[in-house]
Amino acid sequence: MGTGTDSVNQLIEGGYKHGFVTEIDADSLPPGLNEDVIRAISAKKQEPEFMLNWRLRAYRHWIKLQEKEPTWAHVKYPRINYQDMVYYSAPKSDKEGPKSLEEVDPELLRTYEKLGIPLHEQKALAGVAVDAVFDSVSVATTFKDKLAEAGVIFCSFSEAVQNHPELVEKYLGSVVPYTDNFFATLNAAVFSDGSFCYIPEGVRCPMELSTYFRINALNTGQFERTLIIAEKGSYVSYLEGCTAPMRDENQLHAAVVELVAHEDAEIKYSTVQNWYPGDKDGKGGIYNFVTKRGLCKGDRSHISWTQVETGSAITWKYPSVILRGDDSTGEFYSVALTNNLQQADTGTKMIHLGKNTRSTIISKGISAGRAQNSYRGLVRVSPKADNARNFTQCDSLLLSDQCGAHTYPYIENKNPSGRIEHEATTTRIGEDQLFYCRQRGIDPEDAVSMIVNGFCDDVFRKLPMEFAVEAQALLEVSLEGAVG
Amino acid sequence: MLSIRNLRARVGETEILKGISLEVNPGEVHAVMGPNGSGKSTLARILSGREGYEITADKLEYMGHDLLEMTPEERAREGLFMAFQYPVEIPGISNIQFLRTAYNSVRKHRGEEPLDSVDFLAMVKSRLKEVDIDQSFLRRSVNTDFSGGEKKRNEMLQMLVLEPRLAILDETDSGLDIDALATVAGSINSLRSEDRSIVMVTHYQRLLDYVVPDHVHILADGRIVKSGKADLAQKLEKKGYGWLAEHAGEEAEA
Amino acid sequence: MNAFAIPDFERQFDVRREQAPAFPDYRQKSLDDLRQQGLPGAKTEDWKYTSVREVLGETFVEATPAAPVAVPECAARHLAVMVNGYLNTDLSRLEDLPEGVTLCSLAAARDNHRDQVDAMLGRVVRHDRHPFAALNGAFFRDGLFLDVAPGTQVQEPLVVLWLSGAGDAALIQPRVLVRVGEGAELALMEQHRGSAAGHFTNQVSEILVGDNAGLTQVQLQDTGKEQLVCGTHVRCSRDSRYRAQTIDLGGKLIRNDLAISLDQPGAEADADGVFLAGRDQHVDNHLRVDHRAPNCDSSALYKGLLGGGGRGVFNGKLIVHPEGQKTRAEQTNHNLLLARDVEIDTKPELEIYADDVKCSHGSTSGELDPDQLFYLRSRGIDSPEARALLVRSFALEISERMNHSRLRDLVGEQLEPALDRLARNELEG
Repeated sequence: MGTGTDSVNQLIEGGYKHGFVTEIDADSLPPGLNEDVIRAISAKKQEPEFMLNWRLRAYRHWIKLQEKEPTWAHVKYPRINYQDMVYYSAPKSDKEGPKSLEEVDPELLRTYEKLGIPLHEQKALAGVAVDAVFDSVSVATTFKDKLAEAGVIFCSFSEAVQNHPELVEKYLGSVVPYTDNFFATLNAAVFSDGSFCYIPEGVRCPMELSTYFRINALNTGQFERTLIIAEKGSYVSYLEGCTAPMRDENQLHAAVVELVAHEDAEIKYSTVQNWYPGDKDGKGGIYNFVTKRGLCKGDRSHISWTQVETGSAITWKYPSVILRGDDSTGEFYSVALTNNLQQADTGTKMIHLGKNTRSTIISKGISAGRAQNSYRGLVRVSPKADNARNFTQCDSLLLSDQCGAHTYPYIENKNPSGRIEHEATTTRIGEDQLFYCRQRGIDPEDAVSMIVNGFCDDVFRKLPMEFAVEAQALLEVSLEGAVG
Repeated sequence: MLSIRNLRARVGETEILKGISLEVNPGEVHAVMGPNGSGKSTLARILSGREGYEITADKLEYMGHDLLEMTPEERAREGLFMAFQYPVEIPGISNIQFLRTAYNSVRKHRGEEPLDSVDFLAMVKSRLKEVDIDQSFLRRSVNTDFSGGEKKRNEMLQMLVLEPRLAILDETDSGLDIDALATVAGSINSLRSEDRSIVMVTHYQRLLDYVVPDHVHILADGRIVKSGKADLAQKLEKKGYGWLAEHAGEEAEA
Repeated sequence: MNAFAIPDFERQFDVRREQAPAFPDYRQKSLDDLRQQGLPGAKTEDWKYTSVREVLGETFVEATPAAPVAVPECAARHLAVMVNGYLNTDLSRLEDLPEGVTLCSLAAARDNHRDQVDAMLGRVVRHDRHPFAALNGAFFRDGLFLDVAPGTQVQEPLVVLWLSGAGDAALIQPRVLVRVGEGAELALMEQHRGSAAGHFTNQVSEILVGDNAGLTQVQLQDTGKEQLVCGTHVRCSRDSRYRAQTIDLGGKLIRNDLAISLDQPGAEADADGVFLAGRDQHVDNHLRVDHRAPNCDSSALYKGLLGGGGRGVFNGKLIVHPEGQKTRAEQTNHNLLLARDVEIDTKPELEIYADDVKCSHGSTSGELDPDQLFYLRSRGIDSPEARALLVRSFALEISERMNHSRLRDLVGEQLEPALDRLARNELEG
């Protein structure tokens, strides 16, 4: 039995393939957090007054929350000293702002090549527009012109603050207010950049929009903020990828994503998260404490979250949908793989407020090594949400005898015509199954990857084709290892 | 086909097989019988390559290869098929996908092109009837939430598809009702041919009414205490395993 | 006299210390545990959906055994009547109990069966996350002791009737110890029958099911205007079988904590329940099953029915510890919402720390299936009748799972009329 478990473990150990550090000059603020730092961040970004005031309000609220860092999640980590952290780090060469791809620091571009994100030709062929956030600032956005033709605004958050302040002021914090939770409040105070996307009425965004996030500098917290607004009858599919270098220290990533879907609008938001998970003994890795929420504001609006989570030392995130418009739809499809000492506490909230609202939750958790993997979700049907429907399926797959898989759903129904269904299962891939496959002539590696892919199939089908391939490859990286 | 001389196996301090010798020639059907704990399932597991035993043998060869040098998948690809006593459930893999992967692994080993899914499906469908299985079965996860009888029939389906040279059936008959037993026996008989061998490990004589073996071996306490023709099984059925204990001594002395 | 406000527990404890009560060490430990975790509030996770603000704001009198009480008709052959948490032998029928069964008050057991009491008291219940159990531990006065000697079979159900008298709002805190010895079998039915008085009962039961023993336990609760917090803590030994049925017919506040620990290989537990809640009623069932040994099976099926103004909570927690390999476990909860102005909150949780397991959880909530209703009506059954039929069939699946026919009948006698009242929307607190 002992040797059996080991061979399963060997199979699922995979090296982290994005663990390089890019050596470029960074323009950083000194570590620590106070009102002066907030003012400095705002000044560096030449923000209008409403932004500074919003940040300060958030900061003052955060001070009050000092003793209220959330503890309810099934994760453990040492206390974070927020005064040791750097809250702003921009690659220096970006100071002037690149006018085109040719002006982007070639070192940066090589970084993206290594990440497998060539910014130009390949993506042009693929028809993907990319906004890349490196440490804290947005470096380059491709295809801006083509998108502009369609009326789509896709730019860094900083540019949006400069060029579309009225939109930013109107929607910033409208879904995730700065008082929402400890990490969202911190983000509101110090966020340095992120992506902004606006799809005008009736426009079907002509290409997939994509952002790559990367944390590079040491001791830097990354606090980006994404805001996507889909006007009446519009459609956008947005992809987000994340990586970080290998570091012995833990790094904090506390992002906020806000989505607003107006009448008949649809937003598909997909994430492939591969932050550095730490080494085999749990040293280093990203703390991914992220608040993501979408508001189905208009009738018949539709928001869909799809996530493939393989990285981070700790994942704490619950992409949610507030179904306010009648007949609106929310979806959450998730694969979370944890290995070694990784911890994930992730899930979603579906808040049904409007009539005939529908939500679907499919969550697949895979635990290996000594990892702890939890699904935590809330489904709430409010008294006015007549004929609301929810279906939830939570499956866990266990690959070792030292890991844990947990399911914590909260189901609240205050309307008799609301129908909620929840199913959860936990099963394992064990030595017996691997042996069975081998006895039929199948390689153990193939067997594990076949089982895991089959297990995740429901979710992969929801990803845009290009990302589905990437997600599958990512899982295989995390699962492959030296089989003796 | 299979040549075993003085096979011994132990787990820790406990010796389970205490010197087994067995010769299986092409075209032969052997039945290995014995009471619970006699070591018959251990023998089947060792032949399939299950780890966890300390094994010594003067000879343990399959088709001229040293079995102990082969991994379980190599044995499978060389045509050694094990029908498990307790087939495991594998949620997440459909039966058809599993079968095709296994089938193409064997083909690849033989240097043949993999069969595409359309041709493969056609081939499998033709086999389904023989084991009395509905087509919807192919889309279900391997053995997951199958009844005991379904699991055993699924083992037979895999056997028919993979067309092994040597099939080892570990208590494939236990837990089956009479109809399912007839189906399983039908599969086994349809596999019988001049260049193929079958070793049936069983506790009960019942299966042997349907599949008449060429040789019967009786295992007790890790040794083959008696070998004979098909009538040996009937004798055993009448007199029970207790009868053996009285004779075990004689054999050992002889 | 004897005014007792629960938040005042520290001072109350000091007052009682001078009276040198029994079990001082256990009481002190309970007090420490209570102090450490505090009384439940709005932020206490296990009390998220059930508020005890009213109970904590009330000043009670401590219950005494001598309260006037009306005993309902009960045909049971073996009957123990508890009045305000004290055994009343005059009202009980215990003569026919088979040899090997010991039933007496906890106070009597302390004198006559001291070793057994010491071996059990505080050994099954866990105070962490059960603040009311700790409260009971610090202050219980008396209760019930029940021992079934190894090999003893009790075929006829033993009925324990919990009654309370009229009078000022009383705080009733009994402690129950039950041991079913090796190879013994017991069918036990506890019935809580509340009055119109504003009593609060905080009961704790500690139950040991011995090797290869079987215990079937029904708890039928109909508490009227009274509030009940009922903790039932069970430990199951090798190859034992524990079957629980919790039948809640309604009450101002009912909170059950059923905690089953499968301690040794081969133990098996089934926990089923039906809960009904109408206007001004709140019923909360917390079920926790711990798999602490290999090859244990557990299953649970809870069904909730909510009429207008009713509120229900179900929390099913399945925990498979690292030792719990080869666990097979399932929990299912279905809820039927029969009117507007209702609320059901459910938390079906799985915590799995072993890998060779097969566990599942399911939960649904919604109204009566309109297709089923229509089908019945299209066969000539009028709408109220059709509703009543569907409500009954929904709930009676639970009593049909009961394999003890006498117990099933005893439950049916009370469950069926309550279901009819609920279907007609007449269930009130």
